[in-house]
Amino acid sequence: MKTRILKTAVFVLMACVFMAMTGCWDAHELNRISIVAGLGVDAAETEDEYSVSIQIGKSSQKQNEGDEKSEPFILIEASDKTMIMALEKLRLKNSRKLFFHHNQVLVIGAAQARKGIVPLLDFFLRDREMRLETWIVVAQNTAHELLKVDLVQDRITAIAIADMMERESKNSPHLATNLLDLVSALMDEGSAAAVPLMDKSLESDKAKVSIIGTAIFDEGRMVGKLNMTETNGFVLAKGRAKNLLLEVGMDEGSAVLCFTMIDSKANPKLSNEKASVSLDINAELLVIELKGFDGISMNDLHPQIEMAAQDTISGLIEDTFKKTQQYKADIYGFGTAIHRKYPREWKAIKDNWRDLYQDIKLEVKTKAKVTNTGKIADSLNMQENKK
Amino acid sequence: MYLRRTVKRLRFMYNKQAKGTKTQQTKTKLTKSLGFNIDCIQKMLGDSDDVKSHFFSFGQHGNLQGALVYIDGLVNVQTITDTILMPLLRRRFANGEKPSPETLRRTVLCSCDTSLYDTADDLVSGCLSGHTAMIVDGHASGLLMSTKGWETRNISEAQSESVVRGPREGFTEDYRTNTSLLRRRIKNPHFRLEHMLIGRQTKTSVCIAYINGIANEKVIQTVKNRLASLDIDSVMDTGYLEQYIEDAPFSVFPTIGYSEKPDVIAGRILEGRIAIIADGSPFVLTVPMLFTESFQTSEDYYARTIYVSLVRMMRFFAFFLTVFAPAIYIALTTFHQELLPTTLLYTVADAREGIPFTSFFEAFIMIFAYEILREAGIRLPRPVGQAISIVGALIMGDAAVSAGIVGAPMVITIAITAVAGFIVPEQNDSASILRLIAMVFANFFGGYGIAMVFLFMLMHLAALRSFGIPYFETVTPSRDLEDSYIRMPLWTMSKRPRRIAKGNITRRHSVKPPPNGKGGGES
Repeated sequence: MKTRILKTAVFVLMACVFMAMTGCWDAHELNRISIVAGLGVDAAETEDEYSVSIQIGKSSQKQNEGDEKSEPFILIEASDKTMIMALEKLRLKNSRKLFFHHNQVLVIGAAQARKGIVPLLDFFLRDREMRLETWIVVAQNTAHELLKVDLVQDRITAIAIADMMERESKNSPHLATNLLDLVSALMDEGSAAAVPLMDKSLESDKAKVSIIGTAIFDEGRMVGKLNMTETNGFVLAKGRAKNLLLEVGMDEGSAVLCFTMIDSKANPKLSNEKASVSLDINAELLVIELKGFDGISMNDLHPQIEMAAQDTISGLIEDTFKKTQQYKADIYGFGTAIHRKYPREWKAIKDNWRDLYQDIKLEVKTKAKVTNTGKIADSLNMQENKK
Repeated sequence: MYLRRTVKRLRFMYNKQAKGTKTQQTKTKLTKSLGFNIDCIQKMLGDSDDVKSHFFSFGQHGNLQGALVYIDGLVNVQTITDTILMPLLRRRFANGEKPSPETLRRTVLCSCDTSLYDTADDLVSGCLSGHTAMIVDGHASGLLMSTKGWETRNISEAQSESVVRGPREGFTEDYRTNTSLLRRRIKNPHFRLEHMLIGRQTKTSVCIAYINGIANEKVIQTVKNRLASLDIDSVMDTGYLEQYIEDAPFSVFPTIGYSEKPDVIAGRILEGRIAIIADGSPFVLTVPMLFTESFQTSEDYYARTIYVSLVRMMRFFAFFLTVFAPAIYIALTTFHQELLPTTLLYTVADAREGIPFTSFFEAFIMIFAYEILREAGIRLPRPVGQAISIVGALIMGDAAVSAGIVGAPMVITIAITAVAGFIVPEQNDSASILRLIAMVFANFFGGYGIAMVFLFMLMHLAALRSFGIPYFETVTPSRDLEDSYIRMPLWTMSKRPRRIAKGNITRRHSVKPPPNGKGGGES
C-alpha cells in the first residue's frame, strides 16, 4: 500500500512538472496570427528613425466569392527610433498577433543602407523569432516600394524574392546573402560585404521585381553598386559557381558558354607593404549557343573558343576588381587571405588596408576548358560549308 | 484507484460466494419402473413442447417395454430410426430373454457413441446436448446415444478478415466443426483439445487447444486455472471469456488475440500459443498475445517477403498515424507554426480563415461525426449502409467545408486517420481512445503534450503482460525480431518465438534456397 501511495505521488509530481513547462497560453490559432512574409526597413524622414514595413500574406483562396481583386497581402508601415518600437506600433495597427518566424526576406532601402545597417541588425540577431536564414536584399529605391509590387504569379512579393534568392544561391553562394553571411562578412575586418540589389521594373503596366546587381557594404554602410556584368566578374573571381553564362565575342561570330565548374585560388603576396594578388581560375565550360562561324569545323574552333573565353573571363574579373578599388571595398576577402598568410605583417597594415587595397596589383591566370558542345558538335551553317 | 478497489471488493465477495455454493447437489436416481423414470425426466424438463418421448415394445412377443426421450430439433430422427429403433425392433430375441441396457448397447444398437447412466439428471443433460436417452423397463439405468443433428451455418468465408491470397474458410458457430477445422490442419497426435463446460445456465462447451510439447506448460496451467475458476451464468461468445480471464481489464490494449480463420489460429498454435474455443462463437481466442500480433496477418506468410516487410512497416506507421495525426495537426497549427514550410502554412491558414472553432474543437467534431458514421454503418442493415456512406461523404467531406464549419486540411487529416485505423483492426478500439487523449494533450501542451502521451503509452505498453509474456516482446530488441517490423524469409525463421514456445523450439532445420542458376535444374 505504501509503495502504491509513493507511486501515485511520483506520478502526480511528474504530471505537475510536465504541465508547468508549457501550456495552452502558448497556443495561437492560425486565424489569430498574421504571418509576416517580408520585412522592409527604410530611412524615415525624421533623422535617426527607421520606417519599418511588414508584408503580411493573406488569404488568396476565398477570392471567388464576390470581390475579384482581393489583395494577396497587406503592407503596413510605422516608424520609430528603434526596430522594436516600430514593430510595437505595427502591432497596435493589426488585429492579429504578428508572427515573424516565417519572415523570408529583410529588404533594406538604399537610403538606409547608405546610412548604415549595423544598428538595426542588433534586433534581428537578438530576437528569437528572427531567423539567421532570412535573405537580405537592398532595394534600389525604398524597401516599401519593392514590397508593394503585386506580382501575378507568386502573389506574395517577399516569398517571390526569397524564391529568386534561393534559385540564385544554387548557382553560386555569392549571388545571394542571408543574415548569417552578412553578419560574418561585417565582422571580418579583412573583407567587405556584398548584398544583392533589387529594383522594381515596369513592364506593360505590370510591375516586376528584378535583380539588378550587387550592393557593396563597407563598415556597415553601402558604398557602391555593381551591375549584373560586374557582379558576374565578382562571382567568377570567388569561384564556386555553376550555370553562369559567358558571352564570348570573336571575329567570326559569337559563342555563349556556360560554366559547369569554376574554381579559383587567390595567392596574395606582401612585400614592402605593397600587396599583389595572383588569382588562378580554373573553369570548365559547355557550349550553349553559337552564332556565325561559317565554314569552320568544331575541331578548329575549339581552341579558339577556349582562348577567347580565357580572355573574356580575365577581362570581366579585372574590370570588376578595378571598380571595387574605386570604392575601396574588398569584397573578395583578399585582406583575410593576407591576414592568414602574413599574420604578423597584417597588424601593421590592417588600419590602412582600404588605401592599400586601391594599389593592389591583380594578376589573373585563367585556364578555360570547353568540355562539351551540347547535343551537336557543328551547327548547321558550319556543316554546310564543309561539303 | 477507485476501479482497483472495486475489483478487489468484487474478488473478495466472489471468493466468499464460491466457498458457500460448492455444496454437492443430490441427483435423482432412476428406478426400475419405466413410467416413473419417464415422468421424472419429463418433469425435470418441464412440459416443453420440444421434448418428445416415444414408447415402444420389443422382444419376442413384444413383451419388453422401452422408451426414448429426445429433444426435437437437436437430434436427427433418421439416425434414431436407423441406429436404435431398427436394430431393436427387428432383432429376434431368444425366448424369455430380458437384455439389460448394457447388453443392448454392446450387442444390438448400431451407435458408436453410447454411455450408461443411472441418474435422471445425467440423462437430462445428455438430452439437452442432442443425445437420445433410452430406458428399458425393469432396469434402473438409462442409455445415452449420440444422435446429434441440428442445423448449422455452413463453413463460409471469414467476414472480418479477408485475404487476397490464402485460405478463405472461417470458423462457424458450431463447436465441433471448429475443432475439426483445426484438427484437419494439424494432424499431430500431440495436438490436444481439453474440454470443459462453462456457464451455470448455458453449460457451454469450451475447449483449450494447444500442441503438447510446444506450448508453455505454465501458460497452459494459467489458462486452465483461470477458466476453471469461472462461475458465470452464460457464455454467449468467446468475448465473455476474454473479459473474465484477461490480464489488464482496464488497459486500452487487448491482451488476448482473436481470429475467425482456422489457418491463423493453427499458425498461432504452432508458434506455441493456446487457443480457446467456445461453442456458439466463430471467434477463437489465443493467448499469450503480443503487441506485434495486431500488425501481422495470415497473408504475410503466404506472400513474398520483401513486399510483406514493406507492408509491415507501413502498418506500424499507419497505427502511429491513426493515433497521432489529428494531434500533430492541432499541435502544428496552434503551437508550432514555424515548423511548417511557409507556403504550406499559408495554404493551411487560408483554409482556416473564417472558421469559428478552435482547431481542437474542429478536429473533435470531425472525429465524433466519423465515429457516429462508423457505428451507424455497422449497425444498419446492409442495403441501408450505402446511404450512410453517401450522407457521410457529402455532408462531412463537402458541405462542412463549403459552409466554413471545418477546414479542408482538417478533413484530409481525419480521413487519413480513419483509413489508417482500418489497417490495424485489432488495435482499432485502443487507437480511438488514444487518439482522443493525444488530441486533448496536443491542444493544451502542443508537441510537448504529444511526446508526453507517447511516452506514457510506451511506459504502459512496456509494463503490460499477457499471461506472463511481456506484451512488447518483439517490438523491443529481442531474439525474435525476424517476424516483427519486417518478415524475414520463411526459410530463415527456423526457430519458434522463444518466449512463447517453451519446448521444441526448432521449427525446422534452416533451409536455404538454391543458389542462382546452380542446382535444382533438371536438364
